[in-house]
Amino acid sequence: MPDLSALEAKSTSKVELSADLRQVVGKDNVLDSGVNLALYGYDAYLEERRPDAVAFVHSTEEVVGVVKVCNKWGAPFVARGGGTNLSGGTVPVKGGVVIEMIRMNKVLEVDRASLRARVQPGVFNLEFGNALAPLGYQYLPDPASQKAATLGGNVAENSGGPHCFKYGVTTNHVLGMTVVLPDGEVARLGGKAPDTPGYDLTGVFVGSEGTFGICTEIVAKIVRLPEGVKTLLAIYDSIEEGSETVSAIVAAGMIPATLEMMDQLVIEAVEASIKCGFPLDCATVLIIEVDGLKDDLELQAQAITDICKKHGAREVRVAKNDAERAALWAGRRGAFGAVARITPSYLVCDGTVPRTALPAVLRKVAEVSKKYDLKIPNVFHAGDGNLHPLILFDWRNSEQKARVMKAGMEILELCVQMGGTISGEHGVGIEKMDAMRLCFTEEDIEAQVKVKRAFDPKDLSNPGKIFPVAQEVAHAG
Amino acid sequence: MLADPSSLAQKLSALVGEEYVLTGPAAARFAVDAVVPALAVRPGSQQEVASVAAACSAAGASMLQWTDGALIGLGNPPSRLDVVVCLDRLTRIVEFDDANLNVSVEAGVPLDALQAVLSAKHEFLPLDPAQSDQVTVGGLVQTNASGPRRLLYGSLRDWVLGLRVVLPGGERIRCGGKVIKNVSGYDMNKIFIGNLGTLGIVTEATFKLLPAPATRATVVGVFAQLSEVGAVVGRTLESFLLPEALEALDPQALASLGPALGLNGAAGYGLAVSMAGSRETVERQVRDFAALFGEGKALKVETLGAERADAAWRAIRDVHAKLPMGRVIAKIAIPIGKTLDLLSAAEGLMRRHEWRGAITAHAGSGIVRAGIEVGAGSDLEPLREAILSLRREAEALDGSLVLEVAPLSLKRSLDTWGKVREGFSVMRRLKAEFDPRALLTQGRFLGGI
Amino acid sequence: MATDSRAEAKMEIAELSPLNDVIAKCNRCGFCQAGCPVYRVTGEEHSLSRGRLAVARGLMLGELELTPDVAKALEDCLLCRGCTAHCFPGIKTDEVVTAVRHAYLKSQGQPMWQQVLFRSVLADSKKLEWAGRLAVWAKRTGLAGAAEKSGLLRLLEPRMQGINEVVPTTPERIFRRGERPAGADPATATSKVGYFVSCGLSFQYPEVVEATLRVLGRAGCSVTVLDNTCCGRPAQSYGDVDAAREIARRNVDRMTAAMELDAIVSDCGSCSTHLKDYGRLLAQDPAYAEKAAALSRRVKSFSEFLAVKGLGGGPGKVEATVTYHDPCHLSNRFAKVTAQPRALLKSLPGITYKEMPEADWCCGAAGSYTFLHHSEAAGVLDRKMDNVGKTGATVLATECPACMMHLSYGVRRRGLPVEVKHVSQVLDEAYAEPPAH
Repeated sequence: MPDLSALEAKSTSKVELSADLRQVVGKDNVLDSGVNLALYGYDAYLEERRPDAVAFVHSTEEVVGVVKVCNKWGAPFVARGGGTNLSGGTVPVKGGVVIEMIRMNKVLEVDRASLRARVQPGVFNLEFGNALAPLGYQYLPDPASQKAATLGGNVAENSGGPHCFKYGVTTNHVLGMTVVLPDGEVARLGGKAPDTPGYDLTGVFVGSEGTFGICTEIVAKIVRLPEGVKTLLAIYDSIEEGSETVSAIVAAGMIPATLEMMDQLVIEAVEASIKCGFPLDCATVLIIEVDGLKDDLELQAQAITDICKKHGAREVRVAKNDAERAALWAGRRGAFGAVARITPSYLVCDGTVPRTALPAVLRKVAEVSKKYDLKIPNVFHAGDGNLHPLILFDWRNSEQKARVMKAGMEILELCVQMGGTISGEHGVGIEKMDAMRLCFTEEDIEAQVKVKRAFDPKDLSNPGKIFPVAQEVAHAG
Repeated sequence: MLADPSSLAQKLSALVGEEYVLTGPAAARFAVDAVVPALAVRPGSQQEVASVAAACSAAGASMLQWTDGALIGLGNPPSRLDVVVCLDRLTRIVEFDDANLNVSVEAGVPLDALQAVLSAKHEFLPLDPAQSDQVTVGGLVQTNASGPRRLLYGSLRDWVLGLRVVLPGGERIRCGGKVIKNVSGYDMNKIFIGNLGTLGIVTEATFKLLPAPATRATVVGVFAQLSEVGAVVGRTLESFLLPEALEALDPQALASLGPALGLNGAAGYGLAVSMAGSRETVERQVRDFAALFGEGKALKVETLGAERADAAWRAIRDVHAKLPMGRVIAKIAIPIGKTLDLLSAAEGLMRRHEWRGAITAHAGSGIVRAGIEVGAGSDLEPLREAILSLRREAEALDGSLVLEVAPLSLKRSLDTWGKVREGFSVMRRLKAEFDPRALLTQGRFLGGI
Repeated sequence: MATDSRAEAKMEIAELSPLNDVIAKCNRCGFCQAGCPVYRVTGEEHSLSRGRLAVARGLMLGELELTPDVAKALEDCLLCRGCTAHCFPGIKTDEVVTAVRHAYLKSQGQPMWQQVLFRSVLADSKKLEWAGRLAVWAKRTGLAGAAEKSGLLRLLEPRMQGINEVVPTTPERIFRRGERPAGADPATATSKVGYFVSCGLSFQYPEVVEATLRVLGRAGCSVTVLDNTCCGRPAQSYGDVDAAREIARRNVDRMTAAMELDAIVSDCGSCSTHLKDYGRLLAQDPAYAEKAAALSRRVKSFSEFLAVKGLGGGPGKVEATVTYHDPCHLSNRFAKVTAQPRALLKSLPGITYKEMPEADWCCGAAGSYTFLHHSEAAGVLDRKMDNVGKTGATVLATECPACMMHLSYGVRRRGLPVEVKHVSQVLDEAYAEPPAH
């Protein structure tokens, strides 16, 4: 039985692995040249590692075939879609095969009577939305990367997004899937019917970061587009007042669809790349959206405006039309990319705290910024208490990068101390493996490893992720 | 069977106090499906639960988490049961963080009691299972119980932020946390929601909450034909309207709920819809539904204000549980678009056999619940056949039929859960990982887990 | 030999250094996936801006060598800047790709046909015209088909196989080059313009050139047909920047007289955009920098010029549903001439204008790209045709010969009931009708 060490030792094994893969998916659908391997070793995180081969798949059957080849050679595999992951989730840290899902990109069925759609994992989140909108429906989770992030990736990471404050994250909207388990068995989890008897494997598969096997079909919940939407922009001269407003709105018994916040550095970067109408001379803005039945939207908008003003907003604007609304969101969605105008790279922290702790944690992030002499703009899902401090640096400066990593860890520690956690929506990946110990005991982590073993006893599916380095996943022998 | 119950009883007494370790007839009160445990233990804290589990595990004793009187009947008869672990003393509200809309509570807290605490701060947990006066938080989580309001709010999987669980060896673990977005590691909450105590003993849950709506109202209508109900449901689901519950009632359910719904003596099919929110949106929806019901040829339409609506919905939820003892309650889950087809199928069977009972359906959620009276000494074979045929129909639609309540004699010849599907191997391995010696809740769950 | 060429390549890559900061700015967010037509066909990372920049980064850091494999990874870029439109740091990947192609050409030597074409034919208007005649003759006599069948074509450039499928017919004769007057009488004309003759239109669509000249005349312009050679864009795209500069210098010389005119107009989107870039291209050449910049300032694309000039004595009524395809070089990613053609079309009586989704997505032609990367281009074209189909338009207007050729191919393949026309042809037909009141 060939194993991974043999594979690493003998390049002939790699050749045979590629040959076997070509048998399954066809010769043009396997890439194994040096330059191509270099292009499948990264995502939107900062690390990269080369795989041994890349296989493009087009059906569940092909995924089964590829996974069986991986089993034969003891080669690890990782499924990849848009490669937009921010925690290194698709980086093949142990080599092996990258299984590229991007061509499985069909919306298979929109069942309006049952409010469900069946869709393949390679469909971009936004394209799915674009397919539903003309029918009057929507799929609610809307990660900022939605135009380049695939639904398969959303499932793997349990992605959030601005509208998740009111509507929940991916797991609340994915109710079934077809998966290829790490041994090549095909399983159907959940489905169009609710409450499938047995354990909620759909629920635990969502957010498993590709470590439980490969999702090849998704049953997603769809809902009607809302009757009305109102988008407000509240402008503040102090970040403190902005973050206090967030809790005040919720305390008043309102659940807006979104409660997003951006600070001055981010606003500057966004405005430099696309003009969205954010004022350059303010400390922070809140993007607040209310939606639903149109009857009380005006009243809600007024009530929110009053609260914002009471908490120090110097101005509250209401988007007058779709174009103004779209401009605000374009700015918010492009915030991460836009900071590249300031420096080439960033480390985005994804810590989450109880909403009321926001003002305090923002103060501390500012202290971290000073301590490490690093620029840290903030853009975040304030309603969820999900921070995204972006620690800026130039990847060509290794000393600076080392400081960035320390600062990032310190911010995560702060979040945990305040009753929060290390990741709200980007996943642990390779970035936060060691930070897992900040919020979990050894017993907690061991329980998670048990679930991993149940799905993937041989530790072939995206190994080397999530768990602290010393953690033994595969069963000995 | 447990080799030496009295020695274990002594050990447990040392851990939790003698008065909380029950044996003999006192333990028999905790019989599950006529399987009488050797011991029942009532630990007083989560730490004590862990110590109890460790002691039972060391003694090789099989354990079962007693949920509550309402939900303990769910599942196949246990193949072995040594110790019932009853969490009725775990009744602390650990933390009610109203500013952050979450609450952490221990497993023994009854749901209604929790809601009372929450409503004092104008918040609520949007879960509304039947018999919420008896259902405890632990029972809720272990059985994944839900009710009509899942239409708007979803089910338990949408509201649990964190759990504390005792594993069979006595390890205490924490899943999730108290923040509303959390992807630190796996979403461990999901495997424990509805695990029926087969993977661990749930001792505490943290729930996400909602601000209480400013107002509520309910519109109920009576229709001559089920197809008319279906048309109104279809139009509702296509509309912008956002009701929190949409419940279809068969003629028997309507007849028994008549007084509670202000529809005394009404004959036909019922449709009840509940709205919650601001005064403006609720008033508008009341108007729209009244119109929709009217256009849909309703024979009668009634609007219930907030004060009457609460009692009405409690009655709707509990209509099956109010059937005389010996009843069968089957929960059929199918795609939403097929809900009323299954209600119709169930009703047809009941009509043919002239069975008494009540059928309700969460018409926008894909759930039909059929309650059937079973007379003492009656022949169960036709009933078994009927349930199997409904199960076949549901499974053909990729759905399921779960026998929530049934007389033991029927349970012995009819599996609670139905068929296992592709991927069951993972469930089996999960069980083996968490409970390698199969000490927890033996034989009650899907596929004999 | 091999080591020498590699050393030279290293040197050339060192020349990439002005782009180092640009390349470093890619933080791999992957948003470019939303706008890359080729990636949406292949799904392969090397087809994507992020992948191409990763290659450039690898070269920059010395982690990759400029081998044929590496160069090939950059070959299928349309240079359309679809990625740039979605890139928050605003990286112009086309410039990085062109620079790497340049470095590769330097290191490996250029294919013979490219050398002859870029260095000799395109740089000389006489040779260029002869080449055009030759191509038409070869096509009409069946020699081109024979060349394809016999494998002769493959011998010259193996990937040119599909050319006869994309361009099934050629015109009776090409538009003759050489300076001469056209349009309105200079005495009564309200503007005097020079007309820059594009290779694509003059060889393949002489009727468009005629239409453009008529329309300019009707709009009140006296026209001088210029004696220009190729604008140099093909050489630039293949990475032969030196040849592109030489061609630019020759055109600057040939257009000295035209500098006195009100504008230099081209009805080819790529020519006009490339001419507007001469100033930058020759900025380092002391003898030409100033003249080139002045020329660039004078250049207007056809509808850009006419939208300001106005259509003058009223066009008549033409019943048609029209949609407009933005040639990449006129899109907001390059010359930003997008409102003008639409405004002109909408101003015509009887025309119903329907905007298509993704109107500014590349059609896949990209000069000769469609011949060299036939399957990718066909995939890109399929998406375009889906979008055209959604409009129900009967006329698909655009302002670029390569787009016209490729879109016609797409319409033919699909059997869509759509006519592909240059904007000037639509205007010309309207002028042919009695003025509307």
